[in-house]
Amino acid sequence: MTRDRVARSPLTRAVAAAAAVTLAISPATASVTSCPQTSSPSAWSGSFLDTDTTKNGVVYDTGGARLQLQNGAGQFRSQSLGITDFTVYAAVGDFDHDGWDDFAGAGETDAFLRIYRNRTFDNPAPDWNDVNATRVPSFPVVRELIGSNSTSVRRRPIAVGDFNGDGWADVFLAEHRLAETGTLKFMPNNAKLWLNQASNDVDGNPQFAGSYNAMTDGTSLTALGEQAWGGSTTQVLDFNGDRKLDLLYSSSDNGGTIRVFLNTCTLASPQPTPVPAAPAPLLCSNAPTFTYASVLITSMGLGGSGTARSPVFSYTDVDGDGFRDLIASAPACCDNAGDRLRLWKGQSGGGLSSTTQSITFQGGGTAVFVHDFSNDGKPDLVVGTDNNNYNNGHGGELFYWVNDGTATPFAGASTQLSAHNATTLIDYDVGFLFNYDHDPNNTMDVMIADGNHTGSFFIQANRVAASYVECGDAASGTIDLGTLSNSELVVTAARIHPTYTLNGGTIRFYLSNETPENWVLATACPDASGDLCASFPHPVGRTVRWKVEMCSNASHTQTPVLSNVSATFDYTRAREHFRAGVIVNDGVAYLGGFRQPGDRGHLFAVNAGLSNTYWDAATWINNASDSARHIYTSNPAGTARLDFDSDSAAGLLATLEAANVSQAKAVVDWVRSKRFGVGNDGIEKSRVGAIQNSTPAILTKPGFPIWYVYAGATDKLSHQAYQTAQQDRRSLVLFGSKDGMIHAIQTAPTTMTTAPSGAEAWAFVPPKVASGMIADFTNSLVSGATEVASFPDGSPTLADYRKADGTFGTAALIGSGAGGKSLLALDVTSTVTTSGAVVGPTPLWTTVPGEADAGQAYAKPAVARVLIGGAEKFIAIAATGIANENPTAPFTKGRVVAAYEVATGRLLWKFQAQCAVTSDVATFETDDDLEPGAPSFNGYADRAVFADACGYVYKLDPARDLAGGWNDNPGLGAIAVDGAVTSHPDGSSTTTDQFALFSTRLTNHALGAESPIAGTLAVRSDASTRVVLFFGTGGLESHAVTRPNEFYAVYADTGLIRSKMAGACAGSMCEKFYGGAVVTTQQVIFTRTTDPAVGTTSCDTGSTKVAAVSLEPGAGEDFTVDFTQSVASAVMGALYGDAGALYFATLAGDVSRIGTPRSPDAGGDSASTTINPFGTGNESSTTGTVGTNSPLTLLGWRQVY
Amino acid sequence: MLVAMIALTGLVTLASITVMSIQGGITAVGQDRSKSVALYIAESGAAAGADYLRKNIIAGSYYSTLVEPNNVNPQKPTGIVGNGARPGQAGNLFSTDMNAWYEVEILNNVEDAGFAAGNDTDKIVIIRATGHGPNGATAQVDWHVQADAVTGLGRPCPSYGQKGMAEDGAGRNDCLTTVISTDVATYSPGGP
Repeated sequence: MTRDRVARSPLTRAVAAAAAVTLAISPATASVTSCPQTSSPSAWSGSFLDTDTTKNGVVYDTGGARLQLQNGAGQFRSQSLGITDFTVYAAVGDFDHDGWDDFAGAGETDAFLRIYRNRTFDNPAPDWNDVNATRVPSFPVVRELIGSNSTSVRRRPIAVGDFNGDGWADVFLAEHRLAETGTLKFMPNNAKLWLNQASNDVDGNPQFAGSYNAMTDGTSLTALGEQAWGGSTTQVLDFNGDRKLDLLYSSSDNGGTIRVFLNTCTLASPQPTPVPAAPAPLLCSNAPTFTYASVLITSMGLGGSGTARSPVFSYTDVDGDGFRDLIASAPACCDNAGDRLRLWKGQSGGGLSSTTQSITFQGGGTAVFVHDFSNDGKPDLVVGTDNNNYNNGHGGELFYWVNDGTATPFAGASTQLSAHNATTLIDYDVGFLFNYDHDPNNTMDVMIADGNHTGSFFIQANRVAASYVECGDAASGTIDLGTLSNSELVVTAARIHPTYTLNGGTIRFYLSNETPENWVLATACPDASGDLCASFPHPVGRTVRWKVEMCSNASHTQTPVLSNVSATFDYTRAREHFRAGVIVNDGVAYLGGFRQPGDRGHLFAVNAGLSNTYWDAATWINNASDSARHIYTSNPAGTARLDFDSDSAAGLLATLEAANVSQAKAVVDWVRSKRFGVGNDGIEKSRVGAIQNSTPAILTKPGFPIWYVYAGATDKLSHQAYQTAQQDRRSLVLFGSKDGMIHAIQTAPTTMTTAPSGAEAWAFVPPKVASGMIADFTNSLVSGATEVASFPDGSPTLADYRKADGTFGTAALIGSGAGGKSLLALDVTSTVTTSGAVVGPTPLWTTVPGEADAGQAYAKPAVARVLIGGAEKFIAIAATGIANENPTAPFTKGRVVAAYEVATGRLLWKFQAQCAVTSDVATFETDDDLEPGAPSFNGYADRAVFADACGYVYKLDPARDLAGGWNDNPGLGAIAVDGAVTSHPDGSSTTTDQFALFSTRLTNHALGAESPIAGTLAVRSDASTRVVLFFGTGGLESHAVTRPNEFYAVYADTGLIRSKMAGACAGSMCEKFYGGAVVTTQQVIFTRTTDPAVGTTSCDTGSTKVAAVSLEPGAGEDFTVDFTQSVASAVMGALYGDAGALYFATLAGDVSRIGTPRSPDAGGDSASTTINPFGTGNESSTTGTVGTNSPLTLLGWRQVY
Repeated sequence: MLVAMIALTGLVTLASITVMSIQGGITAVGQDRSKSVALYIAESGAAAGADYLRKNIIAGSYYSTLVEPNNVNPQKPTGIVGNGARPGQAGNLFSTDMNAWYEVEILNNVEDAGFAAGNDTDKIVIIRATGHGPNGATAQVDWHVQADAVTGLGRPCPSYGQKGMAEDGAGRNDCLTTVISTDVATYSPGGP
């Protein structure tokens, strides 16, 4: 029951009518440099198709000179390993460097540690065409690192890896001894490391140096913890991306714990050439040791001390999102069915999801193996069982799950590979994965054994079938830029011409312009040439690759084949590129940009009239001494601030996931250094990295909050007190950049050209960004060029909020955008004193909205004041976006929207959209009659809205505290989408219904097809008294240009269309509605953009019409157009409106304005005494316009008594 | 007592902000301290009533829904902050030890042509506030107030500049006046 009844004056109408004329902005200064050009074609054919592609489930067919699907594997055939030792602990490695996998094995009641060399090559190869044939293995003992000697039972976990980076496999062995008789409590006694001497003896057998203490100190040895059982309790991996192999080690502590031990060796400098390609370990200059670093997971609920509760696990990315996931079981795991075998998904910035997926399993796991056994490019799962701690009579059974490629990859039924035998196979104690037989497909085989009872050692030989895998993919290397490599340009789109035959299967192509890849589905180019085109949603990169995804026919008997790909790309030359938006405040426009190549960043302050640059923040940052800067980070939880400098490196180990202080110091020094830019002679590099998608936010002294007019007296007074206390607060420009920092730049519009304007007050490295810096540092070190994948890239949200003590403060919330999936909250109430002393921000919390199911954190969070149970709460409602690893439907990532208390970060609720969220989040108050729950205007937000990549718009009640549960929204939408599933420990699950308010496909009179809705959903009531949502479709570069789009006004209470405008289609090119909308008391303003044609070799910059329509409906379902202003290039970014003018920036390096700014120069607003801090009123109800913005007049007063 | 004075001072401040044209002040300070406190409380109630009236005037009918024919049984709107809330009850803004509260009535002015019918036609009403202070002291004040144009309640202009205009992300700017589409400019901060 809201409405907006602001009478439009005749004069306004006249101006609007006069303006309904199309005028072209033709920036003379940019017209030359912004012309997109098309590269010369690059081609892949013949052997180059093989050598320049990375394949998953795809192979190169030499005979046909083509790529095709791989034959399916996963046909396991059992074979005896042929050893008789009671080897209970074992790990695999190529110790003799001959290309055949060997293994090291240790006894449980015998002290031996032996090297078993793979001499299977001595035995003839079978008929590989016979799926039942296996090669007879041969694994003689060739070295004994510890001799045979009977002992009491000891737990001796073993791990093998190239720990010193010399290319030869080394051996780690720990020993736990029984601490309490009658229990399974074995405590660590020693841990040793045998380094491979990197040369074989005359017989070709490996040689090892003498053992030494593998742990850096006694604390690290103790941290190995209680070990109860065998199986896969260790894993070797590069945990922190420093190209050194680290160790995961499980224990029974605290109901099951897996700890991280980092390799502390010092990398040799220089490295031998050629430097091994990532992820191979780099050479150490000293002997490695392991130091206890952190807990990967604890409190796994596996039971108490002294029982068989040591987790057996695999920590590997199983869902293809680039983050390692954990699958774990235990011998005595199993009273709760849901705990027998679980999947914890990894999340951006480190850590595991708090929720798990239960995998149906009978229980008693002793070995967990993950690998692509089926050859389809997706990791599969094999688990072996114990017999003595659970499910007696079912030990020695082996189960195999094929990854189904969904978000629940092992939800399907398993295949049983072996069965219990009370005589010959009681249980499984030990196993590993290896390619023992060198079959032509190099499939991974499984060794699994009952090592302590029967000495039954089996190989499950993995054989291929006479069929093709269901699907596979291959990705090309980067297109050589040739003569463009040193040019300043960004790649905006690409076109490919593939030559392929489907053979009953399917094939799709993707293109990417970034590293790591951000794949965009290539669709038919509008010129009907048969070529495929893609425009890049993040036109910031210049590393162009293509990827093919092919699937076999329904019976998997035929495969598509690809014999040739030709590719071109479109690029735009400019010195400066603006991808983020413009913000204007007090006569100053702020915008961040970047240059390519080199990722050099700039933050410009320009007069609002757009004729003069006041400063570039990069100037001060680069001219300042390092010691003059105030750079902070926090603990991993984001709750305690830390200094980000070398002197504080010891305190940054956990945040950086560094192995030692010297490594942390090296990374900190690198992050603070000048590392962005091409590095040409005479041109110094910059400390400031690219500002890609981070639209700046301007922190000023507090004004009236948006909830003010309806707030109660006490709350008003409280905020007035805050305004008074902070009236001299210095203004700061906040933004994120590729240097890993959120920067705060001082700005004083009344003294814009003198200090401290343009000076950096402080910078903050988000902790989940910091956790990726070692990998970035190492990759940069190896490549010789700055490579950054982890950085804050979101647009900050600034809002006043209530602190725990009842006073107000100001919070900044910043997502990672293209640089990650996390969200950081800072208190920025008073970070610089009025005299200029830097106090710095106070970290509040950090999180990953949606945890392991998050996408890239593009969505700008909203902050709302809500009333929950009669109590005021300030909440942040955050989403992420399309994930790099899940760019197209079906979407499994980026669907979750979550609400947190601003003050504490406590999760209140979650909601799951049908597809990845592509809009920002908006909130509003309403008293519409058709809204359930009878909401009213009271200063508290009643609804949150957002939209997704499939064209659904959602509406929720944000004022709920569900302790992190799913926020069901019946009555707030009638379109049912996928429900949100919650798994329970007993293996059961419940589903929470989720509804959409609007759908581009399903809502009457809408497109009738799915289309993404991106940017800002503008929200305002019109004269009907009802709240209306304004948004358009197709606002992603990756959305096919051939598909029509529409702009809508939709009633927020019913989801029905009030008005709509169709984007024009000319030929096969249709207008898109990028960037959302701006709504005023009279108008709705948005852009209608035609993308540049791709790969045409013509100078096509695309075009945009900035359209303003009346807030009120026109005839029928039409809008009334007030004006249309043409822009001679495509505008994809957000609009910003301030005091009479609209602003937007372009990738070609321009910022444009439509309208006359109230203050064309800095400080104009500050100098004015007539600016009303309130807008023209428009809140309304069905009873008529309610309230007045004008003060009451006191006609008289008296004291009656 | 300190808490009480803060509350009183605060509400007067509120009045000065939300009823910006109101002039005058408290001149009748009695000898009795309790009476004086009661008067302050009554003034606080009147200020709260003024804030309520500013928010609740309706286009066309003005305050008609708040006044009664001939002012018989005048309304005491519960929407007025603290109205009728006894000490210790929810909504009472004073510390319990003050034993203070107020009640506010809305009366039509007798000159109004709709006085007899219970309609407000001139946007003028009387705020009658009775303050109850310590020791049973009471005081009553009348404020004759007139509203100006019924514009609806204004939303504050965006305070912090940010994408989406404000922290609600609703793309809404009530202070963005009409855009003159013929005035355009383009600039390249990084140079051509």
